[in-house]
Amino acid sequence: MRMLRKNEPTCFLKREKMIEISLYLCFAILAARLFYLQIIMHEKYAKFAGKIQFIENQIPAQRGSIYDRNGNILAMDIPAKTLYVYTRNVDDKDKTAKVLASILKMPVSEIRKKLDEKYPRIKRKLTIEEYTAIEKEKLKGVIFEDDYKRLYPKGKLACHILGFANVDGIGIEGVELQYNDVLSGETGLVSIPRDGRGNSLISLSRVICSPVRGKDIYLTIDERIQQIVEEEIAKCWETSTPKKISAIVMDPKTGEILAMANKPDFDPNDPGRFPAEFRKNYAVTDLFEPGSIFKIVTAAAVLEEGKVTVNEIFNCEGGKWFIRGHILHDAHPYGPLDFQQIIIKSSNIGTVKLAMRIGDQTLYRYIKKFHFGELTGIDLPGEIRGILRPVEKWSAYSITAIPIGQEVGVTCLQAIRAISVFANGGYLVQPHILKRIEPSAPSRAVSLVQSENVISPGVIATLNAILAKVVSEEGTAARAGIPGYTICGKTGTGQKVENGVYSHSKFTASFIGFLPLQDPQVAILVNVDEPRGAYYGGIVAAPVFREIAWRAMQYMQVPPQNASIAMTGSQTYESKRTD
Amino acid sequence: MSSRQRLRIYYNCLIVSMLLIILGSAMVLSSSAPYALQRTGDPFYYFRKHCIFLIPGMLLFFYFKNLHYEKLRRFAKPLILISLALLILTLVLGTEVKGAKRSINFNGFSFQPSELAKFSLVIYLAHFFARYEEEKKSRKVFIIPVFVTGAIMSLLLLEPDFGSTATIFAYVMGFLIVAGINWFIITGMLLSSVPAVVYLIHKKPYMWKRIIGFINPEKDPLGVGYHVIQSLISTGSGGLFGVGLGRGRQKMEFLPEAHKDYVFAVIGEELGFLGALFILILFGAIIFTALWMSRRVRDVFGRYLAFGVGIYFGIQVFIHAGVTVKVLPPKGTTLPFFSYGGSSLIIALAMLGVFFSLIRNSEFEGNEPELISEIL
Repeated sequence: MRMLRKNEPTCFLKREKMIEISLYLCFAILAARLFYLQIIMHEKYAKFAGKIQFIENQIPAQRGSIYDRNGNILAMDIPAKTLYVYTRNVDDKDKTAKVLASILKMPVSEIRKKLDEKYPRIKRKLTIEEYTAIEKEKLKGVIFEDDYKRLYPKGKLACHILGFANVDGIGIEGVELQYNDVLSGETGLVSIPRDGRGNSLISLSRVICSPVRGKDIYLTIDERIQQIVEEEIAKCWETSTPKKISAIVMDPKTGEILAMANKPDFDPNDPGRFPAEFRKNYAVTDLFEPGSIFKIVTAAAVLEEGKVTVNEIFNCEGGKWFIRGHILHDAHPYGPLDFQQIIIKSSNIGTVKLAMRIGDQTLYRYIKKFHFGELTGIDLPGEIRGILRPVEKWSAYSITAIPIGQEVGVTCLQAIRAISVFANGGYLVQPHILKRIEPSAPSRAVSLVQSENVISPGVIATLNAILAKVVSEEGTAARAGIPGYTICGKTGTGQKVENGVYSHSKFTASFIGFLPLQDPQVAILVNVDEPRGAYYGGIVAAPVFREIAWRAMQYMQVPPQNASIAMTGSQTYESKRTD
Repeated sequence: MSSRQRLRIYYNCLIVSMLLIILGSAMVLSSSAPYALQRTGDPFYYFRKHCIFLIPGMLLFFYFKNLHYEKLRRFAKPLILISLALLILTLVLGTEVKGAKRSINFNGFSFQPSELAKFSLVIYLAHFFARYEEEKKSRKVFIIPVFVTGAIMSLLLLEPDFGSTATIFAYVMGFLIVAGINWFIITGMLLSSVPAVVYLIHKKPYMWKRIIGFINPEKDPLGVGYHVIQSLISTGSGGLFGVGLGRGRQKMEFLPEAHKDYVFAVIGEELGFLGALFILILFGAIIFTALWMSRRVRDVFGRYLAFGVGIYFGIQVFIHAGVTVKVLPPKGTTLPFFSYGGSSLIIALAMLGVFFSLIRNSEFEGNEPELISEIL
């Protein structure tokens, strides 16, 4: 071995030093590069890493429930699993597809095709039967993700009010649409790591924010009354086979809708099975020509203006009156009738004569006071204004049509609000469907009462006494009467306009009223569109009204005014029913 | 140099080496676990094999530590011949992975002759240039090691294994420089490699793509730039402190061969700037102690050998880390102790044994009080 002498000059030392320095430099470059990447550019790379390393998935939030005023459930979200397959873990795709297809009743080929994807969704919102059946098979790679399914446990009950929510949990119609933001909770977020091949590592997922359940809604609806209304209009649907029926029961003092139903109806659990027009809430979204029920407005206006006394007699021209180039007819010919007889018998000629005393302007002013031609502002979607032409656009003939409810279009809601004025002593209520939200959301509170006094109490008392006689043997709505209860009401038979001409075969039969007179509990409207056979409001709509009113009174335990009459009355009523 | 100083260097380097082996094993586990789970269902699969490889590696370490390095000169020529033979055998019998034959299989254990070739070449070059200096031979004789290295490089290029080729090229250039070869000749050799590189790029189009991907990875982030970008994301997302040992995400199939060619990117992500820097400093302690010794060891072979140990680790670390932080274009090289791979680990431990033999047995000149290992 050769030893070097001390300080032996060799070029090794110089050159080695050079290489050492360049290696130092290399390490310095590495350190500088690390500093640049990890300290200066850290934010950028960290953000980029987050983007490629994780996928964010939404966790569905449970939608709030809908209850009636007494806390009976009308709509709820129930847990439902959505079926996915993590195909990497599947041993035999053909077998898996076959098993799933037989349980889910889907074509095998469709499922088999999906199984070629990495993480296909096979079916959303399984039924419990499907879920347990698949669970039992113990298939590999099958993954169930939590979801919710909207359930309407009462089926068709209150379907038009509730509307429905779609498969994504978004309200499409009715209360579900109107209060969608209240009912839908806040979707949660879960962060799922993935690897470079795009596989999700579900077991390592982390919840970023938990879903928040939606708020519950309590409606003003009373499930029992709703049921009564639906049963009764269904009977009428059978006997009269009309185009459609709408009925509303409202608390005349507060504007709370106690029931609202239409025919035809649908099952919100499976709305796709029904045609779109079955899903329309006609009570809100459609108008009808009110006919005689509009005479209440005319009578109130004339009385309020002091242009008539109750006993004043008018010549009803024997049922045929040539006025302003047209012939005005009455359903039954009458000679001289006093003011209250005109209303009780529902004479068109008499009513027009009354209206002509106050003239276009004043009549229009009163119609506007009842807010016809305006939205009631009910918290349901799709409400329409109805038709009321401004007085400037009235023709000379209008004064002979509008007072008897022609040339105008009203919604059921507008009509029931108008009759409620007489029931509550003179003010307009705000019809509404929302009772409260839980947990409470005060900003949603509806202004319950519009304080505006439409008609003075004296006039209301006079008119109510007359309206009570409508529902008697001498009036047009004897069939609406219930012994023991004083009912104020008015029939209406509107001719439908067909191709711009009043039809003689298509009518809308309606009845509107409230009871009991002494302390009105409910206002009820029944509107039958195009009944077959009998078409008078007093014949078609009044019996429906009576059934609803009678059963509602029993349910609400409203005592009859005269106990003895009521006793015999209810007996006769019962016997009448069995006839 | 006093024996106390020698002892201090010895023990400091021992601590550094132990840290490297322990941290290295931890990173092997961390970086290979997702890959192992994916392929074998057992996250410890590669870690366990790594631990098994540690046994022969440690045996070799102790063997070389206790062997006077002077005796290594006897192995120089046989080792080179064995390496050449194994490299040829690899081309014939090697198992092909992704179009490259780099290893030979023995009963489930694969061996990479390229690692052995690196070790052999360092000893051979040290031996050759020491003799060259001792016997005052003609300068023309250096053609022999150049020829031997050329043979090894050619065999490696046939595999192909560009990482090892480049590493070995750097070794021989280092030795030629310190051996005092004329600068003209060295420059000439460097220039002569240019046509070879151009030819290779022309012949293997993916080489060109790799270089394009290196220069502008954003242009094709899912194609040629994929490796580069994923490595940068991994390193950069670590920040100052890292995401924590074992908690990195880029090793989950984002980084290709995270437990082999890109383990430094996993280190950057999991241990952060401080961790990566610490590991560079640990390597630096070994490398620069070896280089420092090469200037002070009094026997000629010892100084060449110390130099060889220094650049053996230095070039390996620089190429591996340089690729992950995008200082060098992508090529597959391992980080000693940290990358999974039996051959690489065993050879690195053997080389470490040689290093300790140098500390134990060499005669130092001068009384230099400042030692790099002292700051550690």
